[in-house]
Amino acid sequence: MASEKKVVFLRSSDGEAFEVSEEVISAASVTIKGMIDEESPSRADTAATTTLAIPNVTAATLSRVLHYVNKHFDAAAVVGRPDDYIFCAPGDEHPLARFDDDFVDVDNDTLIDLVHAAEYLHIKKLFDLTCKAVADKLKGRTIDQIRETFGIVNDYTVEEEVEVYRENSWAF
Amino acid sequence: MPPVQPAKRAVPPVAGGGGTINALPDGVLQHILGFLPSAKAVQTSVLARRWRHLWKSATGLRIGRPLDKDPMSVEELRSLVNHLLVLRQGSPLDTCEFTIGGFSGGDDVRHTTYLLCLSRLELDGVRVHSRLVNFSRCPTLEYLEIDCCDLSLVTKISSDSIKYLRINDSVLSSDSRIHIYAPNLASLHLDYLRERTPLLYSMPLLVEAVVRIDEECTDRCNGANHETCDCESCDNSDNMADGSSNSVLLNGLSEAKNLALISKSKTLKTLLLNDYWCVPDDFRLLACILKHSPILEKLTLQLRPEMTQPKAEMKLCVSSTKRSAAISEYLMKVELKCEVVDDSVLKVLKFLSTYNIY
Repeated sequence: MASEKKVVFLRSSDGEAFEVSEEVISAASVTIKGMIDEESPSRADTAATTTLAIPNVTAATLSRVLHYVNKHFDAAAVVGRPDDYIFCAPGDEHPLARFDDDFVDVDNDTLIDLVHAAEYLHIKKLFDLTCKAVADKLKGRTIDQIRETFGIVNDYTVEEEVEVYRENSWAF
Repeated sequence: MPPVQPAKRAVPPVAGGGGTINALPDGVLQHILGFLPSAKAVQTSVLARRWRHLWKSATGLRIGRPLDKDPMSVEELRSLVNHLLVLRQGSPLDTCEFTIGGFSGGDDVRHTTYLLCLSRLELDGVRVHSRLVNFSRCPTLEYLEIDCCDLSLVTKISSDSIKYLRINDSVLSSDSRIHIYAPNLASLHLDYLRERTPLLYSMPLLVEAVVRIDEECTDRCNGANHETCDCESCDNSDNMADGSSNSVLLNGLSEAKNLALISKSKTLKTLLLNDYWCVPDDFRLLACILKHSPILEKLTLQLRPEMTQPKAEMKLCVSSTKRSAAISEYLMKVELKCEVVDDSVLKVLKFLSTYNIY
């Protein structure tokens, strides 16, 4: 099994297929690992490559996700560089920290799509990274700015809003 | 949706998905809120009706202010923590981060007993007042990170559940070693610790360990001859051979699968390694130690750790004429202690001979 590099194809909601190493994507995505495991008996006797439909992730998002997955979960890339990590100077960050920062430096819609995809594909590290990036966008903004930036409509009545402020006044 | 190739299984599409935050399910928003400072997370309750109670189930608590800001007062902190813990009513929590700038006198947080279902705890800039840090009432804790803390009063940290422990840039006790009891630990990072080096209990599941020792670590002997000295800092090989097994660091680390020992201090001159380090045909660990211990003078390899008295001892010397560039330039003596000279011992000897150590 380990001798040959197996690949799978992931087909996005808009019909584009992406090739990825079965080993890498299985390590990254609980959802896809589950799909592959379910497929295994039926494809044991055929040489055909598997194509898995990912009906709720677009090509644009899926290609970003796979870029992340290949950086973070490709054993060849990761195992080859533990020394970089271990022997890094004090205060140095993980070598992928810079990659991660750039990866989530995108507009709000793209970021929210990534959150969706990470949640659906069950990629914990990517889910945490993207959720934290959304939180960082909330952090520096006032309540009004958050509503405006993320299109949140204030559906409280004035009385209700005052009441919510009052009950949570200890946090303001 | 455009037609896709015969997909073998249909997966229910996620609702919405139009890229707006409103389309995210509650569980995801609660996870996002868990990355906010907790007071800010509570403030999102006024955004809209949907957000009113979301913060109560945020998956993380982040309490305090960044270290470069003025620290919160004890009263402020107490009020915040009490409100959070009471109003959350025990919602599941993944992460709890206290950032309480500086070690300003008297600050005292006594809330750890509330955190029973915690899996991850990061302490940043906390002075710990109790001698025993015992997580036995916190059986789900797996990740413990202690950064820039004052642990000078602590004598023991114990947890049956933690798998990942990182202690970074913290002050330990200057009088006695902290005993770390964490039998299920898989990953250990000890970075820039001050004062006494911790004493590690057995960690049979350890996969990786990174230990960095520099000049700030004052755990060193002031005696002139560390080989004959028996002060605690010199607590070296001979004690361990008696079965007292209180070799300071390496005993606990010897079960690690990946290990980095980084020392800028000029004190790591003798080293004792047990048989874990030289499993025949895979001498990478040993080669790594030889290469990364630039000031090592004497290396002892004890190939049968369980026995009390080695039956065979070999003293090897480093060839002075054909010194290998891949070993410490000060390494003079290598000792091999074993019960019988068997195949594996011969393999170790053969490996060492590739470095011109005979």
